[in-house]
Amino acid sequence: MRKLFLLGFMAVLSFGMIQINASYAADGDKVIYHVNLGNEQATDALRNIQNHLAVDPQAKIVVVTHSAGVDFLLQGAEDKNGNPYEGTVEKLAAKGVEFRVCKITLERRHIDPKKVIPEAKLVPSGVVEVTKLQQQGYAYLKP
Amino acid sequence: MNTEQKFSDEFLNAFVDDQLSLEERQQVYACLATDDALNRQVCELRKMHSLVKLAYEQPPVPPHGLKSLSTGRKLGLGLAAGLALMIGGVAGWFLHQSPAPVPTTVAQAIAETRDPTKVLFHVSDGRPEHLRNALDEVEGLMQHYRKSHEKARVEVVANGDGLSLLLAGISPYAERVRRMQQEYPGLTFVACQNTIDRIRQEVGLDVKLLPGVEVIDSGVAQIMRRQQEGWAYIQV
Repeated sequence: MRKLFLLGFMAVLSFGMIQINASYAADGDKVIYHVNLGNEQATDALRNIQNHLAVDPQAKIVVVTHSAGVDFLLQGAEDKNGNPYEGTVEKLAAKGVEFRVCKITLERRHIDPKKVIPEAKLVPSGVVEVTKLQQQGYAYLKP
Repeated sequence: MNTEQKFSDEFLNAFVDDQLSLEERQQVYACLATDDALNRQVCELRKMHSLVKLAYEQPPVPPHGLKSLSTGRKLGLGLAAGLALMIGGVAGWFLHQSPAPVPTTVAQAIAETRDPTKVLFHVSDGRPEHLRNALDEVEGLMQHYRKSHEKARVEVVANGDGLSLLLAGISPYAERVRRMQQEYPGLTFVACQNTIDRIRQEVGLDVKLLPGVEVIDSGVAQIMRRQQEGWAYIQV
């Protein structure tokens, strides 16, 4: 009789666990792309991200930028061949990629926040953001 | 039964049940003294009343516990318990992802007792502007957690070209490193032994570390160990 009690208990528990796991599987891998060195690294990162999404369209990608890494997210930014970054960033943002810019960097480098393109979101601190996302289970990638 | 029935059955039943007034009882007692038949009748009535009382006594209390429950009841209890546990577990899961701390003294006190946020900064580039940037980022993070009254445990692991940050006579930021070590108790600078050995082999130089710098066997192994221990990793 006690076994029946335990069986009922375990059934409900496993059902709950399956539901929780199922929801994680459906959401896909979570990963940070950390960009802080400049436009060359940014170009590499954007290419990496496009490849990543081609293989795993469900991946949740957050690009966290600070120091020299914010430059490609400013209005009018171009790569070394003169191609504007904004078009590529727009396309990726439409696929769910997030771009975050460090406010401390903007203050330190005297960059007007209004110069940041609308696809990017401001965060209080880039490195704190990277830390927080890892605490939330995001993997870390440095292109 | 006596032929001349002075008292009705109802009256005698009331007598046996102690429901008569004092005068009425005295009447009966007076007759009982002389009337044998009445005596026998009252005796029979008392016996009958005792038997009825015995038959209608409180039944014994059933034993407590699951053994006495039916199968259906137990399954129901099990499901209810499981459901309660699941609700608690899920609620706990969501509540665990807590929002930013409220700046009250109570929140501060709670934050003080929480496990510190653990972050490993990896420095492998020795160019001076890169080292300066790295120190800026480390300090920015320490100040952020200090402002929000959260404890932070931060390790700066230097390997490869990044080791120059921690070498006496070579580091462009020896004074800043010393100041940061004093300012932030949760901060340690760590040098990679593998890199130290490689410099000795390739350049013939026996490096001297800045004061207070710790040493681990291998920078990359330390990075892997710390991540396994739940530390966040940032390559600056």
